[in-house]
Amino acid sequence: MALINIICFGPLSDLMITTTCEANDLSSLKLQLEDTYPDIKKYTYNMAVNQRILTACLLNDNDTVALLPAYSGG
Amino acid sequence: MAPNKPKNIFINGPITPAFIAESIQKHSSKKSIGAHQLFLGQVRADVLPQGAITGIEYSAYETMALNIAYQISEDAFAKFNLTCMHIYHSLQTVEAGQICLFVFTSSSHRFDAVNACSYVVERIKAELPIWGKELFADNTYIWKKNLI
Repeated sequence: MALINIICFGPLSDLMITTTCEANDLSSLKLQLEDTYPDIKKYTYNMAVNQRILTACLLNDNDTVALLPAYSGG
Repeated sequence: MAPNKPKNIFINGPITPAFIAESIQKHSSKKSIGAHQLFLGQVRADVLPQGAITGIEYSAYETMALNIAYQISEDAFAKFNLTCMHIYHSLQTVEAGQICLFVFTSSSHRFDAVNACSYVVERIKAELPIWGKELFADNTYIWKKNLI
């Protein structure tokens, strides 16, 4: 299992989501987070792995996964 | 010319009219420029069931936003014949009536400055990982949703 850093933005930052998690790949991380924090599923969000938006990939120790709900800049 | 590495676009708090005036002034020495286009985004005091919005508190995934802003800048220089362009976006609290986004494009003739500015603003709205929290007088808030 890889130890992953999690960062959350926008409305997802209100959900007190863990800042570290163990997972082998992005899909299992997503399932794990949605299982532990079901409110995440109320939002449409992308996941960025080390700042790249991806839908599937293997994860390595110290990767940073960001949960990015719809942007509202400007 | 496009910058060759990401530069900071973030300003803590509002973008002041003095800052904007100074940015315009700085271009007076670039005498190949014949056209400037500015976009200024201002915080609206929308009235919602909770009351009127008093301000917006912005946060961002800053490192990712700077890399994407750099890519937008590179694409704008590739697509339009620009002399220079600048993007500034606020972080932290901006009160209703204050400026939170400043996009400034310059070119020899108006077509490129005008169209590049619009192109850059649309991409900023769609692609920069920035979030706004709409604040109310009673200290409550809701997360801003942009119209697509």
